[in-house]
Amino acid sequence: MASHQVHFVGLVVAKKGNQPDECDDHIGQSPNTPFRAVVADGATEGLLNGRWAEAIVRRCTAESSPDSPSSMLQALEEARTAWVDEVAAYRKDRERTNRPIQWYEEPGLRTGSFSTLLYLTVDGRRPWVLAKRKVKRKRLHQSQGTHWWACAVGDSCLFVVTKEGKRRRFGDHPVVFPITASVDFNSSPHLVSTRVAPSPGAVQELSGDARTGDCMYLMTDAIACWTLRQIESRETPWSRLDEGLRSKERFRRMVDELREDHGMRNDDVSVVRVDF
Amino acid sequence: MAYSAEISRINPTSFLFLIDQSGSMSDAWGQDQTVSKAHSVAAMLNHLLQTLSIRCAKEEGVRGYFEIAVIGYGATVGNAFTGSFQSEKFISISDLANQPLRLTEVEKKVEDGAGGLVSETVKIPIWVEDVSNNGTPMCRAISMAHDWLSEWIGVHPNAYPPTVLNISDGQANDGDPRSAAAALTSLATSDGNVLMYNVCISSESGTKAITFPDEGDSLPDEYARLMFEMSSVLTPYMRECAAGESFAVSEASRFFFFQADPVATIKFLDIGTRTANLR
Repeated sequence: MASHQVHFVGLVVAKKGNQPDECDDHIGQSPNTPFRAVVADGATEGLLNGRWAEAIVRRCTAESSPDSPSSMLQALEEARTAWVDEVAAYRKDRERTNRPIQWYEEPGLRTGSFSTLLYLTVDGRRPWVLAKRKVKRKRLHQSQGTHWWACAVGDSCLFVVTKEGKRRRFGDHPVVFPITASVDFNSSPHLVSTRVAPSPGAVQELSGDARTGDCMYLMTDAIACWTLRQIESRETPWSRLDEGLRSKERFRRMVDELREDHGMRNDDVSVVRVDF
Repeated sequence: MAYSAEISRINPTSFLFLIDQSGSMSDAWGQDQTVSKAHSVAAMLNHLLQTLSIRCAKEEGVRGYFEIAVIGYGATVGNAFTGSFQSEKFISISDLANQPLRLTEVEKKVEDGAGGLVSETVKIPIWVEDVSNNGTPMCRAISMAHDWLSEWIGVHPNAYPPTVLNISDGQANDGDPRSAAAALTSLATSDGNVLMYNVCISSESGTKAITFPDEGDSLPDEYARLMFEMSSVLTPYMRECAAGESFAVSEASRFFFFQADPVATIKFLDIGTRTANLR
């Protein structure tokens, strides 16, 4: 087990008007050493994007855990290889249940499926410091504590909130990764594809050290954009998010309110909080 | 803010195509001059409907984000869909996808997933056939679009506003269409007015299209100015899409292509049917 204490809470809600099984967001964790938390947001347009997001989460929380850019690229390569069998099984199942693939599905299956990825791993070791310079690197220098490493493709965001920052009511600007301004969200983020490896520039990483009382939020784009707007307006969104994370019902209610009263885009919404 | 309504299965938007089916549409068009305008426009429309179907396809089927109508104008003015859809005005993209008039099969090179290409049989759906007869009763066609959309908006008062795409190769011979177009674009949902986009396809090969003009005075003739006046100003999202395709646009640019060749017409249809806010 890890020497540090890490606590995970995460919830997902589908777009308003959609069924829960139409949600393309997926979250997951591996509580074993090293602790890992993952958020993946399947693209709105296209086929099997939710399943691909789920496959990414599954791979990233499997026994062998990525802890560097090169091992993440390797893990995604393994997920892509496994995906070929998953699509073959899907086709077979459609035939078996007398629902053969239609002409309008073939192009989507040929093009492949797409998802964002946001991955956090927490471990005292530092095996990634000398990782290959294959991806854009950012390092966060903090005081010594529990070391963490995050990796992202696309616009799912990590918010690093210090114990002191969380207590302060106004003015604290946490570290946000990989999008740093609400205006930078758009409809064409980088995505992890089932067909080709992410381009090196699409994979970004960040690492740092956390202390007891710090916490991190992993969010998909709609609520990450709202959170960034709050921060930009010198508001603190944390207590509202924490209140929402207390139960599924509270979370659904919070998301409904943010959509209706605060201009949050109607999208699948995922929030994960990791407490140190 | 106008033109920001979410497009969903319970709140779809609509596209209404006005297709010139006059006799002059049988003239050859494009670089090699071997295919008629009528045939090319029908093929482009079929391709566009195919693209929209694919965009709406999910695991459970095609989601009904769009409702589609096609009015042809030539010897007659009326629904250009044939077969089971002839008696309906607007048809859900979901129903269209599941019931094309026919599926043709063509050999096509497709990516093999390993950086190469392989030959594969691809199914191509057909919904609209090419027709070319008589004059250009554009005024009657726009009036019919007005009636159909009044009805549609009555059922979908809060929808993203309908888009009308008019494709013609010549002047209306049943009057001045500007008043009919003004009445059409005065229709509105709570999210904004009906948008009307016009493309006048060229009779001459090698002509250069005038795209997204922002003033009418410098247009080459009275007819071009008339079509310019009938066309809606680009919404901010459309401006972004057009700029993304390297078109020069300003805040006053209107959705009008003049002397368009096949390539420009395909771009016209592509940009004109893009939508944000799909749920």
